[in-house]
Amino acid sequence: MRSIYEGYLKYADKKLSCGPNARAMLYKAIAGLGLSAFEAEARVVWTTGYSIPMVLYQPFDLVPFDFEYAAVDLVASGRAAQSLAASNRLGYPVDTCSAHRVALGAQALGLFPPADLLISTTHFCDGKPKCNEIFSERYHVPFHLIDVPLEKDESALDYVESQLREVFSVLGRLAGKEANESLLIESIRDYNRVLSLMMELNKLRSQKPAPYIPANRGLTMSMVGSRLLGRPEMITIYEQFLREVRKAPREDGPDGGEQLRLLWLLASPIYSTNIFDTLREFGARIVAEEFTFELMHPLSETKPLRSIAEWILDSRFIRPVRERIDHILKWVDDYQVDAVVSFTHLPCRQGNGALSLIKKALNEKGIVLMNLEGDLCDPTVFSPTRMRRTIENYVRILLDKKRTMH
Amino acid sequence: MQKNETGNQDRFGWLCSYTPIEILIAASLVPTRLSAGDLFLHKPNPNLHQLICPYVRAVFEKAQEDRFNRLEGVVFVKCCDAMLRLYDLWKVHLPHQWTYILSLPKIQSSEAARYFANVLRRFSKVLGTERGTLVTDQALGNAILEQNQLRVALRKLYRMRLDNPLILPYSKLCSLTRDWLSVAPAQALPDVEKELREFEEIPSETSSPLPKVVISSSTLDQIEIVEIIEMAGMMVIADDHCCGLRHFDDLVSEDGDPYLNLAQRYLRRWPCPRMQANPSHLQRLIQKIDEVGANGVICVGLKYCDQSGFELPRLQTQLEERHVPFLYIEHDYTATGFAQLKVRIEAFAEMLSNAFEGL
Repeated sequence: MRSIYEGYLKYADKKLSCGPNARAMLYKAIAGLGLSAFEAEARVVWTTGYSIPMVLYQPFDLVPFDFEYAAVDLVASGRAAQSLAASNRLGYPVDTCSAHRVALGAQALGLFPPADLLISTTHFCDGKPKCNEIFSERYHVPFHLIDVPLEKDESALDYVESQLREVFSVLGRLAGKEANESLLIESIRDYNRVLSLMMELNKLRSQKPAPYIPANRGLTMSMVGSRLLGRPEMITIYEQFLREVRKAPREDGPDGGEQLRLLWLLASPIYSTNIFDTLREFGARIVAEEFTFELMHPLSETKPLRSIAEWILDSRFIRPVRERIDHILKWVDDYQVDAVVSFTHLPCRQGNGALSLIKKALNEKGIVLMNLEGDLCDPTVFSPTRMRRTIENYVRILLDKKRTMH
Repeated sequence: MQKNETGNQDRFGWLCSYTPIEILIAASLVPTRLSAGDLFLHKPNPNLHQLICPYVRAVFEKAQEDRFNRLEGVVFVKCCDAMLRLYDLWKVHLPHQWTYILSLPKIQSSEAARYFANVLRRFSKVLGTERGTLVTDQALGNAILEQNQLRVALRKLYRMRLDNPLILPYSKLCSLTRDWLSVAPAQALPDVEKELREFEEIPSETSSPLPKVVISSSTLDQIEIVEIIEMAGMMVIADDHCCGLRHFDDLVSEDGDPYLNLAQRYLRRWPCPRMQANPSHLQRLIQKIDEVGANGVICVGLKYCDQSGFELPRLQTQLEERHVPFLYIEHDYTATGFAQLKVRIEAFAEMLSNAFEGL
């Protein structure tokens, strides 16, 4: 892992020597955070960046480490095969989420920094808490699971808030600091500042034509960046990203101009694929990502822990799928989307279990669901030829539809 | 009393062992466990992804084919990702049935119990407002009593069977339990008592002629698998799955707030692997294996069940430390895998028999 983060640093420094670059700045910050977890005196809290706002850890001198994102880092650098093999050797199911399999294998191989504490939530998927349970046993450290109920009302907020209070005091004890809620104000302010920048970005992207952003850069910035939300450096990174998007071509661009507008659901493959090159060829621009919206819930400086509870309960991956569908339909309108893309991570029960209902709802509105099946972290099951054909077929349908409408 | 036009009580389906069926009984409904063990999946369902819990797929298919007799409603529990998705699909594709989904904490804290008690209270209220059945505290108290009696009787049956397992083959016990979980506890209790009397009349055996195995699964719906195990010459002495002894573990306190009592019992009973419990599911299973002196353990994995899948390597390690042989087989509600399962089960039986004869 260490060499991966050192590699990020080298890449970032090289890029930044030519001028400011949001992506390079982001990877530099990620590398710094990743490397700090390996320092001898570091107290490392394993957590989940997309399900608990990172602001929670900011007041304390603790290093948050997200094993799923670390697994993603391994995949992105082409070094996950050994970890997947280790997971198989240990006997974990081969048909479960490959991000979890990489993490389980990598941990067993000693690639991750040891945990002092584990904190996670029950929502998003069943695999995440089970992995935490295993890691807690391996390191003999406590695991605090924040139970997130289906409801979203005052009693659910009270329930989640009371668990957060307990976690907050545990963090304070680990850091040797008094766990005073007011310590969160500064990081919440930084988080909210980034949130307003994200909203500005989204406003630009909702315009027609949208600014050209390479590949799935919007998702990279939010997904990779979720580990840094609440840190001051994230403000500088997003300010730079906003500058880049403002300058980005709209009428024309490397894709020859916007032909189709896409909304991207959940995640995209971590390894290198031909998906984005193919989309660019057809002028299909990703104008919004579901995952970015998932991170965008305001936090309150006056009621920090209460608002973190609200942030968690705002997730669209807790309750029945109707709520998620309603949001998808709203984004389709807000961003004038032609099609919704789902890179369906095959072992994800959460993601694939409701896909037929999402498709049905979109079809009723005349919107195409581009279902691109694959595996997020295992490149051995990816066929570029088949993927290209699938995308081409969808694009043909969409362009024909557009022509007919005109 | 909630009755349909034919004068019978309405039947309500449930799927997860964490469903507080006492509330259904108190609402004068007949709680019926939705089993799909009689169904083999043979075609893909366009509405449900193939790589998801086969129990969920099988139940959904059976429901779409209208093969659950006279079902007025279904109560779901958010016990796993697949179950939440099944609820989503049920609402859209089977809209004529009344449905409800309950939150289920994964932790056992007192806050979790209080929260869950409120979830149950709300469910009772909704049954009253939407189904016209008022769940009174007295009716709930009676339902708790009835269900506790059934639990006590079933646990006694499991205990007595330990000494004399040949009287009641495990496959028959599974089949009986399936029936008992499809009727009201007051109706099931006399049948359980009848089985108990048979045990009481026969002197207990001290030694067993066959190797004893513990069977562990998430949901063991397909009794054919148990029959293959028995035919191979092994005797299932104890179990660990949703509709086995785990389901009947622990009683609901009969004093005080019935909702809090229910919540506490459901959160603190022998847990399923989904729970962050102390003792954990794995600890309870190991304890049971030690307690019954099993010669082997057969784990019948339900394909795509992440909750139990992640426990396998840890279970295997613990069994290796104890020198208890272990077989892992996987099923997915298709008929095609059965021949292969049979070969593996028979090989395991042979290995156990050799070791058993050497004792």
